Parts: sequence; structure tokens; C-alpha cells
Amino acid sequence: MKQEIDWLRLSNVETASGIEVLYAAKLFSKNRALHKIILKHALDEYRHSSIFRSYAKKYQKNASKMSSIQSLLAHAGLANSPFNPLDKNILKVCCYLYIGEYRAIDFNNQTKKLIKDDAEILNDLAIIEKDEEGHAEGVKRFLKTNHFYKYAIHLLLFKLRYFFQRATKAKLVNRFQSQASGFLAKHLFRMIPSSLFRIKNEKITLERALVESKRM
Amino acid sequence: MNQKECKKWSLGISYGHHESSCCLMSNEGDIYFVREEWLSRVKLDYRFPIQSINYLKKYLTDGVIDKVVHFQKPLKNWLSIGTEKKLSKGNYILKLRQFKKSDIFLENELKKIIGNKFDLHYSPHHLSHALSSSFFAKKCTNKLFLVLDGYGDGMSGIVLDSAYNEIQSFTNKQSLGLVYSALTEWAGFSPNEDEYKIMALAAYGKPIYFDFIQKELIVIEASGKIMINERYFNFTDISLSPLKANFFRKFGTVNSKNNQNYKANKDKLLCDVVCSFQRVIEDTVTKLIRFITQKFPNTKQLICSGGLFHNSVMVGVLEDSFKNIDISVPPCPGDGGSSLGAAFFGLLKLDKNFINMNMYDLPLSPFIGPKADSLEPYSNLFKKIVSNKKTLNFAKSLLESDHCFGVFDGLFEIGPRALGARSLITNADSKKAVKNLNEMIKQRESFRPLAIMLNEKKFKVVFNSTNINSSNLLWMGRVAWAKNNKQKYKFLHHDFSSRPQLVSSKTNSFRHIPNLLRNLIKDGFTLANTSFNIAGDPMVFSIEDLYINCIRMKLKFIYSDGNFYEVINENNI
Repeated sequence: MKQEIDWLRLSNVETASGIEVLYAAKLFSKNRALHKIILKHALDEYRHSSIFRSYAKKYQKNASKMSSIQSLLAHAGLANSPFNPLDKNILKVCCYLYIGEYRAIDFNNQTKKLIKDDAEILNDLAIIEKDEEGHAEGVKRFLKTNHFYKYAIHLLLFKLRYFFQRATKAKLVNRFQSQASGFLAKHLFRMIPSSLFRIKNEKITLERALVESKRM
Repeated sequence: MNQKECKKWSLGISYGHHESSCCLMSNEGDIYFVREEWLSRVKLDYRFPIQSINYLKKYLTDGVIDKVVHFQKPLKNWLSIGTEKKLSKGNYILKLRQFKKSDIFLENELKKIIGNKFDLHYSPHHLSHALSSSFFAKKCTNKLFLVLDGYGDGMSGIVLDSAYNEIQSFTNKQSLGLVYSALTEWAGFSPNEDEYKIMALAAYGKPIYFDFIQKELIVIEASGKIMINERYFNFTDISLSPLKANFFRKFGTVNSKNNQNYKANKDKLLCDVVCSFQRVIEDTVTKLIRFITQKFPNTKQLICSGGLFHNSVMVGVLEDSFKNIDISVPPCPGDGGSSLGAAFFGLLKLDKNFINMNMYDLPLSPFIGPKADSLEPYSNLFKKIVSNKKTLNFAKSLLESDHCFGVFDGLFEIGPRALGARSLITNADSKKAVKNLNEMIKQRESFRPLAIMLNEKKFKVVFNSTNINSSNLLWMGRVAWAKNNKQKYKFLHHDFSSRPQLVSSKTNSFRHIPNLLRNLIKDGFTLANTSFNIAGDPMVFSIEDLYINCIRMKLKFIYSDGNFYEVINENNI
């Protein structure tokens, strides 16, 4: 069973989490003690990533090679993450991290169900789960002592968001979307006269480029 | 109106291809450059550089952004590949998806972050490349610009005269950059990312397919026209592999996937094929330059840019082949550096007289980024252990005992090459130290070569290259080959080459190299210098990145602001 688990994806997801926690750490740079605790949290995520990567090397010999950017943006879902690195709202960021930890625990439990007989992996998963629970507890404690009511609202909003995200990602919807876009794309390109796509290749000169700088 | 009110800024943006970046340039000579990957922590991040623009806002204390310039023509670029008729259904689906996510909607993205008041312009892709390298241009009229890359705005290269008028251009179907990317994919590595690994592997092979490739696959005619055989390569349908069945029939398939345990010398086929392609590309570009310089015999300087010139072996060959022409390659010749060209284009929109601006007139080289934050306030992460005058002796003791230390000092380097300000440093003469740096600290493949920093005297002893004044030796833009006692130097690559960075009192453009490194080199040390990051991550940028990377790499000592710091790792994470 362990050969069928996408260890590489788990590793990429943990790296993506590490990056998000690193963004969060920057918001706390004035509170040195908390800053360091969050950096340790990020380090835990990177450590989990390397554990999963070692399993990927062992058990996923034919895993497709992805570029580092593909592995994080597409494979780990960083491109669709609701986390906005420009958001300076500590409360919102912490709620996001809190939910993220529980999602990670969910993933972990699903993986554990598939691994029944490998003590080494189960042991590693137990350590990871303990880490994630510790992170979630820490974030929850911070939120409760600082912004209890707002925290409850943000949490609810994030939960709703995940629910709808999951719904839109349902296989049926995906299949319909790709079939429809394939049909449309093929016929759309056929309908458009090819002259529209023909690029006028005029000689480049700085003078002309400066004059035509508004043209796309 | 006082002078401050007159300050005008141009914001150059590059995104959508490989590496997003932003450059803010003022009419008073201020230049600030940021790569998106430094902030997003996603290597080669190509997304809209939202974090970079936000970061650069802090420099806009006076004046306003007068011009915003994108480094290419987005619609032309989108139309240039995969819009022909009779391509596969997958191609058109991808094309539609690309449209939705493309830089055509740049204006909307910009509005979200800098408001509605800006004047947006588009500079042609290859002109942006040429303008970004123009800071290297010497004050002589006998210079030409050569840009060669994968693709952009429907072209893969251009030759421009000193007034930036096109002499020759190359279409997508003539793209040497796409050939190299396709080869990278064939070898089991990531295209547009791992090309440098292919270049390193070429040293292990023999060019046994050279004649065949030159006759059948990549032909350069006497007129300087490059022909790439479409029976072997597909550069039109983006949903299909860039390599056609004929390629696999001829060269087979390679099973070795990119991983840490990969042993380069065990895969003869792979090394021979990549070596042959490397030689053909070197030869093709050499012939192209010969053709151009025959047409313009008074050419004194050839300023090269575009992703293909990341190939430092090729640059070394070119420089050795054309001793009478100054071949200059900037430290960031690819798309990442193009935002510099786009910002410069914006300045030219303001006033064409900026055309004569070059690197040596500016208060600082344009090829540097922001200054490192001080570690001093972060005493719970970094403990100061050695300060000021004692640092040199401490560094020497670290190097002599085969240790490695990190440098996080002064202004950031903009290119992919570490030049000493954000570097991991060890003693290049010690095999043990180099092995430790490569495999334990950086956690990268063992077949990768080392970049070194050394002084002029040692350079002359070790290397063949005669032109020690070449800017490519200052920016590590070229590879040089050892002349004798090759076995003696542990820092040489498999083919007895290295990518040296020459540090001497003459290297004024290296004002940001920490004095500690200068002094070590002056005292005869040859330093192995590699970028400050763990394999697959972008270079460290903030204090947080520095701490995280140090712990992950188990790196103990950091040189910063004239002091040595020890990384505090209480829990031994």
C-alpha cells in the first residue's frame, strides 16, 4: 500500500505549509519570543517534508519529475491557497494556519489507514501528528487570549471556504469542465480567421518601440 | 518646484515566462531590483510579482511612478506559439488556459496594488534583454547586441546595432534555447530549470554525435540563418513533447531521473548526447558571431544576453574564440534580469538622453539588490561570537579546518550566481571541505561543478584564459580551463574547468563583496563559493529565511556586517 501513496505530494504540501508559516513569522518580527516559536513551526513543516521526500525516494521510484515551481504551485496547491502573503491581518493569518493544521491531521489519518504494517512509517506519522496538534494548540491559545470573538467568525468563514473548495473540485464537475473547455477551445480556434493570429514581424528599432509602446 | 518634486520613477516588470522580477529606476540614478522568488520562496516563481512591487513601494518616499513598463508584448507573445490551425485539441485547451492566466491582464493586476494612476507601456521582449545588458556597453559606437533565448514575442533571438536597430532576428522555430530545454527534458531533468545540470553533465561525455547533429538537426547556413530540423523537434504544439519520435529513435531514452544518487559517469549515453549538443550549440553561436562580425568588421564589443547566455561554458568558448572582441554577459542575462531593461525603457520614454547611461557612471552597479538586514537585533536567533579585526583569523581557522560559513552581508546579488554577498564559502583546495559543502550542506548532486573566487596571481597560474580584464571573470559569467598540473587542483570539474570569479583591487564593480572575502583571497585562499540556499530553494533573503536555511543545512557560522555570528539551535531541530 505504501507504494501507492503519493509521498511526493505530501512532501510538497508540507513545504508549501512551511512557506506559509514563514510568511506568518515575518508578521511577528517585533515579538521576538513568538517570532522564534513560529520559525520553529516552519522548521517542523520542512522536516516533515523531508521525511515524506525520503519515502518518495524509497517507494515512488517512478514519480514524475516536476520542476520546483510546479511541485509547489500545482502539485501542493500553493497557487490556489487562500493565504495572501500581503495580508497583514494577524488574526486572519492565524485562523488560516489553525485550520491548516487540522487539515494536515486529517491527511495524516488517511495515510495511517493505508499503512497498517510498517512500524517505521507509523512511528514517523505519529510524530508528525503530535507536531501538528502542538501547532494547532499553540495557534488556538494565541487566538483565544487575543481575539476570541473575531476568531470564531474567521474560523467559520475558513471552514465554509474549504467546504465549497472541495465541492467545486468534485470529479464530476472537473470532468464536465475539461470536456466543455476542450470542445469550446477546438471550435473557437477554428472559427477565428487565422489572419488574426498572424503576427506582423516588423523590424525592431528603439525609435519604433518607443512610439508603439502602448501596443500589446 | 524643487528637485525632489521632479523625481520620476520607472517601474520595470518581468513575469509570465520563468522568473518574475521588478526594477524601480529613477531619473536621478537610483536603482532597486527585486526578484519575486526571494519573497515568495518559490524558486523561479513566474507569477505576477505582487510581493516584489509591494516591497519596492518602500523606496518611493519621494516622487511618483511615472512609467510602468512590462518586459514584453503580452498579446503578441501569447499569439506566437500554438495558435496555428490543425494543432491538437490539448494545445487549444492549454492556449485558452494560458490566456486566462497570461500577462495580457497585467493592467488589472497592477491596479490592485498601485492604484489607477499609472502609465503602462510594453517593451519588446528582446529589446528588454538588450537594454538590461546595455549598462555594460562601453562608450564606443562599434558595439553590437546579441540576444538568444527560448522564445518571446514570437522570436528566439535578435542582433541589434549600437542604436538598437535590428540587424537580424530568429523565429521560434530557430530557437537554440528551446533545443536546450528539450534536451533537459529528455535527460529526465526539469526544463527551464535544470539546464545548468545538463551543462555540468556535458563534461562527462564525448561529442560522438557532433557531426550528425550538425548535419541533420541544427544547421547554420553561410548567411547566418539557423535551421532546426522539425522532424526531430516540436516547437509549435504546446501540449505535446518538444521532442518527436525521430529524436528518440536516434538517441533512445534515458531512464536516469534527476535525483541525489544519480551518478553522472555511469550513464554514458546521456553524457555523450548532452556533450554533443553542448558542442554543437557552442559551435553554432561561434559561427553566428563570426558571421555578424564579418558583416560588421569594426565591432569592438558584443553584449550578449538572453537565457542561452546562462551557459557559462559557451561564454568561455566564445571569449576564447574571439580575442579581439569584448564579449560581455551581464550576471542575470535571462528573463529575471529583463525588468531592468523594461525600467530602462521607461526612463527612455521620459528622456532619450538616458541612452548613454552605463554601469560605471552610476553610484552603484545596477546588478545588485537590497541591503541585508542586520542580525544584531535578533540575538535570540544569532549570537555574535567574533567581531571586527578578529574575523579574518576566525575565518582562516574555519577554512583550514574544512568548515563552511555563510555570508549574509551588504547588497544582494541579482543573478543566479553567488558573487560573495549571499554565499556559502569553504576552502576550495580541500576535497573534504568541498564534499561536505556539496553533499551535506547544500544537499545537491555530486556531479555539479564548483564556482571559485581567487586572486589574479593564482588565476594566472591555474588557468589558460589570457584576458584577465574580462567582465565575465568578475561576474562568473564564463568557464575557464586549467592549463597544467590539472590533477593538483581539487576545485576543478571533471573536464578540468571551473567558473572562476576573479577578485582584485581592479574589480570596482564588486564594491559589495565583503572585505573579509577580499582579504582571504588576497592572502592566497581559493574560496569555493556557492549560493546561500538549500537545494531547490531560492537564495536567502530575509532574516527568517536565513535562520530557517541555516538550521536545515546545519550551518553554524554566519558572517554579517563585519562580525561572525553563531546560529542558535537550542532544540537541535
